[in-house]
Amino acid sequence: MSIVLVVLGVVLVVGYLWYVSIIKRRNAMQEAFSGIDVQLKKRADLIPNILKIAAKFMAHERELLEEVTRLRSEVLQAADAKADQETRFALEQQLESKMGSLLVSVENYPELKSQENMLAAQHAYADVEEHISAARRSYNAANRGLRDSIQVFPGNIIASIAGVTAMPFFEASSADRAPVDANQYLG
Amino acid sequence: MIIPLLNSLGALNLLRFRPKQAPVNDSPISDELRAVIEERIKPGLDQLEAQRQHYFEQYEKREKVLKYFAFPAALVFGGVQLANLHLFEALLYPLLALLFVNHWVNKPARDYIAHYKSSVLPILVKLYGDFTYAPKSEFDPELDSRFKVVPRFERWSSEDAIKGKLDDIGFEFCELHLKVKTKDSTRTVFKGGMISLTMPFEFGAHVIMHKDKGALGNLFARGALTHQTVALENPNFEARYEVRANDQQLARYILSPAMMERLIALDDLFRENVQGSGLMCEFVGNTALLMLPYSGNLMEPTDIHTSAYELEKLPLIAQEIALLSGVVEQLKLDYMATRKLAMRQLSQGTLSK
Repeated sequence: MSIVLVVLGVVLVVGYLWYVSIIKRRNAMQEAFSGIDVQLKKRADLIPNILKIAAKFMAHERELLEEVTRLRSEVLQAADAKADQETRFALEQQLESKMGSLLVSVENYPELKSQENMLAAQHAYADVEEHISAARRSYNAANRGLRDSIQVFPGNIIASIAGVTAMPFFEASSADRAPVDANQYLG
Repeated sequence: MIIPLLNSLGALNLLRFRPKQAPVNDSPISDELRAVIEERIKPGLDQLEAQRQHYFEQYEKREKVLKYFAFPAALVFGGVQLANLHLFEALLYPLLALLFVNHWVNKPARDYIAHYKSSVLPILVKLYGDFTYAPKSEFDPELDSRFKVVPRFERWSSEDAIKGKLDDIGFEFCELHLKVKTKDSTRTVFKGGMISLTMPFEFGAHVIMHKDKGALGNLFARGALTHQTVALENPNFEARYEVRANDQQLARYILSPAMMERLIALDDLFRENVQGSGLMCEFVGNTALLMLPYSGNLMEPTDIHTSAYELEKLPLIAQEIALLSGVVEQLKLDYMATRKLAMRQLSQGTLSK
């Protein structure tokens, strides 16, 4: 009888420690996810500075500048309204793509390209993109740690009882995975 | 007792000042280096050669004392002790005496090399940037408490200090030899080069990159209790290094996929060129510290037996200086600095109108 109690005690302790580990990893993943938010907000804050500098020179890119402005507003609205993840990230993806096009277009304006403010803005944007990339990698690593703990027995049982699930990994969109058509940029 | 004595013999590098086979230098000499040698180094060689001969005379006299007096006296003393069955005294005292005399004999050789380095190396380092050279560095004895990649040490020696600035980044290099005391002697815990880069921005996180010593070894690495492991995506990088940090996201910002590749390439470069055994890195505050253990001895331009007019080692020294000063560009830390400064300018609104 006492052996049964000891074994039961050990099982309960191990189960509890595993549960604590799962919760800690879930919290780490959520923290990493909110870290991405912080960096995306930084990028959204940086964009008006770039647009202000670019607008002085890129008169012929009015449509592109307006598109970026519109997307930025939508991204900020979705963040404030706490829209679902899929919608938010789809908008962020569109904004990222349009900003990429804008920065490529800068190459067609030599006067703008060599302007000190524009160079600084491009460097700052590159820095923010590095931070976003780091935040996504951090999220993926935290998510992987959570998945490891909830997919291996007895973690899968404990996770289903506690209602803990993993989130999808950050992956490149199909547009990003498609081969680059140089003719698009070189005209 | 014998083993610590043998370690001490090795530590004093008894054979250091003997004529060595000339190293093979297969790198082409640049026009710039050739011009510096012709215009700035060769004019001073007469004086250097005169100095060498002066030191060589002193060295030869002292070597005769060693050969014809100290060594026979040690043998006689040792023989007498052996005859009296005092084996320990027969080995210990003569060895100690010979070590001391050898150190005294080689002093002119050391003085000449220090003089040669002080004359020639300051000219060479200027080729690679706004650098200064000093035979000894201002070493911080509290370095092991400031940085976790620096092993704990009790004794240290340093030489060949290069200091300067590359764009906005402060650069300092020195060769280090760190030791700890053991029961009977000392043990080397680090021998190689140390590069300290002072960036114009704060990293914002404390990231430690040790050599991977396996699951058990990593548990006892410095920083293991206070910093979390950072699991990175590059399997080659993960196999070589163990990374710990106090901020997972900023650690990944610093150690981007491209940076990991550059660190591996730098490590391979040092392994190939100076018999390196694995670099270690630490990013804290505004400092990036690189510890480069290697068994060779960089920037040894000559010895007392070689005429000062023989300059065949200089291209190799220049290559070594290029390797060290090229670290900032190799790791693209200058580009990281540009990005961070631009971000700071934008957020402070200090861009020009």
